[in-house]
Amino acid sequence: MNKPNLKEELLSAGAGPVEADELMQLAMSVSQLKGAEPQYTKSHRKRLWPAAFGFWPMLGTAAAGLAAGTLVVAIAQTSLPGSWLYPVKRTSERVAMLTQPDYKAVVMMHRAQEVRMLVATKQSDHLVTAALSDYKTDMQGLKTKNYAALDYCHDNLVQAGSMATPVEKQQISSVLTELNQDKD
Amino acid sequence: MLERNKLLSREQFEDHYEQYEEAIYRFLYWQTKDQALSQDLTASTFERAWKARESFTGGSVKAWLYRIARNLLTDHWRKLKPVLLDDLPGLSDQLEGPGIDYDYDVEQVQLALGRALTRLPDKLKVVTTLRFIEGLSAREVAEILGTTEGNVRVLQYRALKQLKQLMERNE
Repeated sequence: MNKPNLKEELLSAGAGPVEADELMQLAMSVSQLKGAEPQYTKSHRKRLWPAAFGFWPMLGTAAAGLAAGTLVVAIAQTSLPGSWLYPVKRTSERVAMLTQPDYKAVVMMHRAQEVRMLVATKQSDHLVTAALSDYKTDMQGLKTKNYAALDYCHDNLVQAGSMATPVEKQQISSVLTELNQDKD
Repeated sequence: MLERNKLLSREQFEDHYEQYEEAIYRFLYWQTKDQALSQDLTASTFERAWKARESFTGGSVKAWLYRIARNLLTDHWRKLKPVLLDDLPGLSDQLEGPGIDYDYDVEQVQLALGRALTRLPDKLKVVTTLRFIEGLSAREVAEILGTTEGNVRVLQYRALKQLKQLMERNE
């Protein structure tokens, strides 16, 4: 507390000089009350924040994170080899195959479709080769009676073959042969 | 504008919380003389400040927090008004106990002063607490109360005069 200022303030508010001195002394005594109050308990402090910062904002953040993650996975489903989202697609497929063995047929359809789209958009041989290799790997040990899926793969690969470069055509032909064996 | 941006960040808000929580508690304590209530109101002050941080339009964060605390206190008194002991003539005086000698000793004077402070009208109590216990400037108090510095000077003069009278009545 600034003494001269307070005296001036009291005088300007209408106090006489003697009264101003007395009131200043009183003000000094009042200022010594600081610390006379019961201490602010730390245990209480700990429960101040949960209501403001705690459960709901954290739940909101978690929900936003989950929504963002779901969105990325959903968008990744249309990605092709070479895209930064493609590993997300592959991971989500692996997870799905762990929980639903029948999902392998869907994965096989994805690969065949990717091969067709890569060839159609004239992506590099390297990507087409990698996609075909993935197709073969994913299909190892697959015993499916899902003939609709096999037909879908067959059609996509045939279409891809019709647009492919000679090198790609040879690789697609090899995969088609294996596919036909699976059908038989 | 800088203050506003600070408040929008949780970390910075927590800094303000750490910095002012005890001052807000102290202010509320001297208005209520109730430790538990003051702690609850302190918590509510920061909760309300956090929720309303977007509405902070700049200026002193400290003044803004005191203003919120005072509004909460007003709401609290308004709810309790019908059962306040001070509204029952004579009863609060009986509960106050015997008078305390003004010059008995420092501790007794502090007790008497603390008691006298709580008997001041609300607005004068707020001004006294902020100016003399919290050491805020007349300008800061004016900002909290939404009034002029000149009015704060008049209020503090009245508060000290009434405080003196209350102390003398205990002699």
